[in-house]
Amino acid sequence: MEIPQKLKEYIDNHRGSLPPITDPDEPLQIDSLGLIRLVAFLESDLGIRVEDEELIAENFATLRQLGELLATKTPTAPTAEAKPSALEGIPTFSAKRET
Amino acid sequence: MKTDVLIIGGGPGGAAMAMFLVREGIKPVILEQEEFPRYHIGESMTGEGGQVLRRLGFEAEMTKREHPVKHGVKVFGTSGVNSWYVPVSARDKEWNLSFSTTWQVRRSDFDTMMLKEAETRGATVMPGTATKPLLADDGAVRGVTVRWPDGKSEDIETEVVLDCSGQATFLANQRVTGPKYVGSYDKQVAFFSQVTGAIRGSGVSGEEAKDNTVIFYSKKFHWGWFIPLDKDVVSVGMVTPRADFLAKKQTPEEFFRNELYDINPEVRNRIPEMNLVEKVHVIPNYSYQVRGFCGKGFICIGDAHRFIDPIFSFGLTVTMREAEFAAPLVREYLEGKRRNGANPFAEHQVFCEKGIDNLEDMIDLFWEQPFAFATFVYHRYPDLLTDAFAGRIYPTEHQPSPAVLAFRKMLKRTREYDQDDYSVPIGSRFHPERAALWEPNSPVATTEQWMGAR
Repeated sequence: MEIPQKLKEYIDNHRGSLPPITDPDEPLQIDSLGLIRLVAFLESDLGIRVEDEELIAENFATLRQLGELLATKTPTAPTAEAKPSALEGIPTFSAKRET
Repeated sequence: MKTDVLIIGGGPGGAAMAMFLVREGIKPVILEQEEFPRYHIGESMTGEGGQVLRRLGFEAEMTKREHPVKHGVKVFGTSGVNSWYVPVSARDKEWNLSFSTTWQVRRSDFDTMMLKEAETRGATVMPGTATKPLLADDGAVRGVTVRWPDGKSEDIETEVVLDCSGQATFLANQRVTGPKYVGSYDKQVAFFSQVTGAIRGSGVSGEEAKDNTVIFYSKKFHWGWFIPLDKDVVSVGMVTPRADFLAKKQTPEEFFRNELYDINPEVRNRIPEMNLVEKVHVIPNYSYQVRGFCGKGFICIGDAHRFIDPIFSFGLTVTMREAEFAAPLVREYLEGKRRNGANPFAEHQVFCEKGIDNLEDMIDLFWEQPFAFATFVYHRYPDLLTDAFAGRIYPTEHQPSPAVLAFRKMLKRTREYDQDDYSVPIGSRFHPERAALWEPNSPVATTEQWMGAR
């Protein structure tokens, strides 16, 4: 499965000051909290659920590896935003569009 | 000498045990071999530990003594730039979740307060050391032999002995319990001291609250803690594999001073200089699990039967909670209940094991799959994990939760509770399921091999 455009844009926008990725084998260089946000984005905006056992750093190392992970999945309709925590202020990475 | 209930150990477990027993109308004897105040490790607690203290009526005294208030734990992970934060939380009677606080404690002060109050409320504190259990013909514990400070020995006859001897694991060492298995974190060694001049958060509450616990880690099984003890002093500790320490060929103090900074770049931001105001203590082999830790005439409480690892600060909380759970059962036993079976406290035993097993699954996944763990904490199961971090780990608290079940699925482990008291627990370093996790190239491949080698 190709990397959807929305996802590519999301990744490029979350690499700090690094330029957009051009090489499918270059490291994504997203920090661990950014990767959690990415998982949330996949769920809420692309309807793709990463299973618990798929939550390993290797699956998110490069675009190629991410593509291989996504190839195993059938996207469903985008789900509702992740249910926010009952505690206000706890970050829940609901993948809202960030300004 | 005769007493219905003898408590071995006057630390927080023994003192809490006594105070809960007094509420049940029982006046226990506490045996304590050290002169208080004395230094002790185990300086942070989770939310539910704070709740135990509140239920015992200590809120005002803790505030008066200015024990630092913990709003949560900040964790600095692999790159030193990222941090994540777990707040202390509480649940009310309707199970609604809210932010809460607990305390950091200088144990010399805290333990003295607890023991004094236990005495004030009706427990008798006697200085002395338990040397041997006294056993009835059927193996039931019917007392202990005590050595008094003047060197004389005396037998104390009891209905129930509550072993609150902590890491000394008195009854386990005396083979009254089932086997004591070396735990999965047995190859870790803790080095710790106290510093002044450390830099804390600047806030009064929440993530930046100045007296929060800070945890630093980078490599697997290498981590450090930062726990304020008062306005000036911070407890600082480091846990690393024993092999690393031995390879460096340094004294504990040298190793501590040098290696703490290597744990994570954030350490130097918080501790610009090592102004140690306490010697560097070392505790190896702190991880173990005792099977069959309850029986006729005895219950082991807290560290006296199990300790996994200090990383999530559960030790003090679990100990005080177990004391609270045990107290009504002791009263019922003294009233004649459950006197006929092999283990009058069998239900309590499995209840405690289940709670700590949930904890163990959490600690194990934290090291085995840190990315999955962080995703669970922040995204997939945030509320369920603040419950676990707070210490709401027992079967009566919606455990094992979907989060804990997800941990088990990730660790490829199932937990069953129909085995006898002698089976090797998953927590054992040499459990067949665990050997692969801990040391892929371990020279000991199976539990049988290990048992044969002993």
